[in-house]
Amino acid sequence: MLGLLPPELILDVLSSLSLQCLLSLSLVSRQWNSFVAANEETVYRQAAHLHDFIRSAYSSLQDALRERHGNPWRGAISWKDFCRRSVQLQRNWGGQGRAVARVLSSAGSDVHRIKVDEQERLCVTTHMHGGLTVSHLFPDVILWSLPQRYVRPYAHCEYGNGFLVFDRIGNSKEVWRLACDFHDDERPALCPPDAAQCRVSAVAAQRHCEYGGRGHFRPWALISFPETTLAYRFVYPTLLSANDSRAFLYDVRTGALVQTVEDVVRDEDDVNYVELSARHVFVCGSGEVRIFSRETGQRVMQIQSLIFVERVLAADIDSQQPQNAVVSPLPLVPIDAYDGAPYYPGEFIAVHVSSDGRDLVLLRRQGCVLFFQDFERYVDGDIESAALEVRLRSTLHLYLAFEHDRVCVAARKGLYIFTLDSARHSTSRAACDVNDPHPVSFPRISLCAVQPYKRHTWSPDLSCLQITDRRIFFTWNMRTRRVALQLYHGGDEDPPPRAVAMLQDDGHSVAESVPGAHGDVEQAFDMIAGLELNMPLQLIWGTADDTPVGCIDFSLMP
Amino acid sequence: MPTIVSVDDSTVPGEGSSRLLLLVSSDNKHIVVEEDIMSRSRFISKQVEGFEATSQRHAILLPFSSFVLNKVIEYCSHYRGYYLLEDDPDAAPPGRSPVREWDQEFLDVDRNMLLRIIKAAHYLEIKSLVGSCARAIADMIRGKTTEEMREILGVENDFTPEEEHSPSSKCTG
Repeated sequence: MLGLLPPELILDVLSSLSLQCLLSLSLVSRQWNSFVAANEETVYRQAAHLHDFIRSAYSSLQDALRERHGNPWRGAISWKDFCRRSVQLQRNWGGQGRAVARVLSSAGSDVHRIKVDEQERLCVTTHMHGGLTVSHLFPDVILWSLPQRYVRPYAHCEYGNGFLVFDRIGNSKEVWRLACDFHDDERPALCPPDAAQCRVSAVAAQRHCEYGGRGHFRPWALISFPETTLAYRFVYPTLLSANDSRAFLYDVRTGALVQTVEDVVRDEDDVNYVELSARHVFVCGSGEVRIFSRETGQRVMQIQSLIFVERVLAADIDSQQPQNAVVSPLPLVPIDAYDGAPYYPGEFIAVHVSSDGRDLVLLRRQGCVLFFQDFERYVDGDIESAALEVRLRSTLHLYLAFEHDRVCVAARKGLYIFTLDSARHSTSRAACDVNDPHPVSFPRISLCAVQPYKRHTWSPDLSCLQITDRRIFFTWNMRTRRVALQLYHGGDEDPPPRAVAMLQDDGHSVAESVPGAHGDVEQAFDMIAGLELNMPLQLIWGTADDTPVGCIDFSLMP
Repeated sequence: MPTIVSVDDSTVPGEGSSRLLLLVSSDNKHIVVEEDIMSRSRFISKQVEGFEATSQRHAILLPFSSFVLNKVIEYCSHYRGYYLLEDDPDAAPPGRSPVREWDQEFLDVDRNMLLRIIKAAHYLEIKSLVGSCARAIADMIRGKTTEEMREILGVENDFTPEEEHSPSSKCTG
C-alpha cells in the first residue's frame, strides 16, 4: 500500500521509525530492501536524528563525526555505520556489549578529584598530597602539572569549556584557562592572577615542553570570595560557591560577582553540595534541597528529606549476575511504598541537574536516589507526585554524577549506572514510542551494576566520579584498606574523637569507642548512622598511595 | 474544463476581512473557502501570489475529491492563525515532531483515506499535515515483526531462503 506513495512521502513515514523497525522493514521484500538501500543516507540520517544521536536533522556526516570524535566513531563511513556504532555504544552502556576497566596511572596514585574533557582528551586531577596534573587520555601521559607545594592537598577542582578552577586555602579560587585559548590582555581586569600564579605558570610551562604545549593552562584570574565558602561548582561561565547562609555567583569571563543568593539552607542545616543550571541554583543541605531562580534570586522550591514518595523501585541485587561481566543489567522492581518497615533513607548528600536544566537527581546517604523529571512543572505544585525513588539497598552512597542522560552513583558496594530513558535510543526491546506523555518521572529508567574486578571490594572512600558520553572515571582504590572513622562533638575547639571504626585489610573492623560496633565496616557505619547523636558526624577517610584514576570504558567497538 | 469563475471580493460578515477562494475538486464540487484558512498551503499561497500579480482571480482546480478536500479544509480551519513549527520550510523530517491529540483523532480514518489525505497535503504543500499523516502511517507498522509488516503492507516475501538468512542490512545487531 505504501508503494503507492511518492518516495519523499515514504521517507517522511520512515523518519519516525526506529532502527529496529527499519531493519524489519528492509527484510519485508526485495522492493522494500532496495528502497531502504537506495535511500540509505537519508533513511539513516533521519534515524540518527530520531534516536537523538545528532542534534540537527540535516547535519552532514562530517559535522556529526566532528562532534562525536574519537574511538567509537573513528572510520565511520556512512550514516548507517554511524548509527550502528552509536547503537553499539548504547548497548555497551547497557551491559549488552563491551565494557572494560582501565587504570590511568600517569596521574599518580593519590588522586583526589578528576575532571575530564573528552573533546580535548584531557584528564585533570588533584591529589591527596597536593598538586594538580593534566594528563592525556589514551595514550596516558602527563602533559602538564602544578607542583605539590603549590596546590593544596585534597583541593577540589572544577573544569568547563577550557576553564579550570581550584581552591586555595582561604577564600580564593584560582581560575586557569587552556593556554592556547587566550591572549594575556584578554584577562579580566577586575581580578587578575597574582604574582604567585604567574611564577608557577612559567615554571610549569618550562617543565613540560615535550608535547608542544598541549594540555597546558595559564592563569586567568584569582577570584576572592567575600566570605569563607564550603562547596563550589563551576558550570561555564558561572562559578557558584556557598556557605551556610549565602551563595555567590561569579562570571569567570569577567571575574565579576553577578549574584548573591541569601538563606541558602534552613537554620542549623549544613551545605553539602551546590549545583547550578542556566535558570536555577540548587543548594543541597542535609535536611532540605533549596532551589533558587537565577532570574529573581528568590527561592522557588524546596524538597525536604522527609518527602514521601509513592513510586518506589528497588534494585534486585540478589538477581543472578554474569560472572565475568564488567557491567551487567540489574532489574528494578516496584515496591509498595505504604508497606514494610519504616524507612528513612538518610540525609541528602548531593544534587545534580541535567545539562538542559530540566531534570533533577538527588542522592541520599542510605541507599536511595530520587529522580524528578522536568521538575519545573512542579514549582507551584506538589513535587512528591513527580518523584521516583530508587533504593539500591547498598548503604552509604558516596558520589553522584549526571551527564548525557545517565546517572552514576558510587555506593559502598559498587558503581551503579542509571539510564534515564532506556527506550530513547532503542537499545532495549521496549516499544519505542517517543511521544508517550507520562506524568511520572522516568518511566523507562534502567539500571546496570559495575563490577570491574570481583576480587576488589570497593573501598568506601571513593572521592570522585565523572561520567562522559563514553566513559566513567573515578578514584579507584586498588586494595581494601584501612578506614578511620571518627565522631566529633560539635562546637568544641579541639574535639576528642568519640568513636573510631577501623576496616583492616582482612575486611573486619574494630570499632573501639562505639559500643557494639563490631563485624564488618558496613555494620559499623550502619550502627553509627543509626545512633541518635546530637552532634555532627565527620568521617575521616584514611589515605594510602594506591588510588589512581580508574575508568570504565564503553567506547570499544567490536 | 478549466472554468474561469470570478470570485466576489466582498468580505464575509463577522469573519474578518479574508478574501474568498474557489476550490474545485476532481469530482467537480465547488468549494468556497476563506483565503487565510488556506494560507497554510504553500501551493495555495503561490496561487494567490499569482492572482495578485495578474489582478485576476480564478478557481483553483485540485486533483482530489471533495471528500478529501473537505478533510484538508477542516484541518486548516482548526489551525487557522496558528503557527506550526513543522510548516517551516527548514523544519526537520516529521519523525520527532510532537504528536497533537487533535491530529490523532482527526486522522483516525481508514488506511486508504489516510493515503489520500497525505497525497493531498503533499500536493498542497502543507508540511505539518504531511508530517502528521506520515506519523499515523508509521504507527501502523511501528514495533511490528517483518512478518506482520508484510501482512499490513500487503507484500509477499520474495527473498530466496539464502538471502533471508544473510544479514545484509543488519544495523542494530
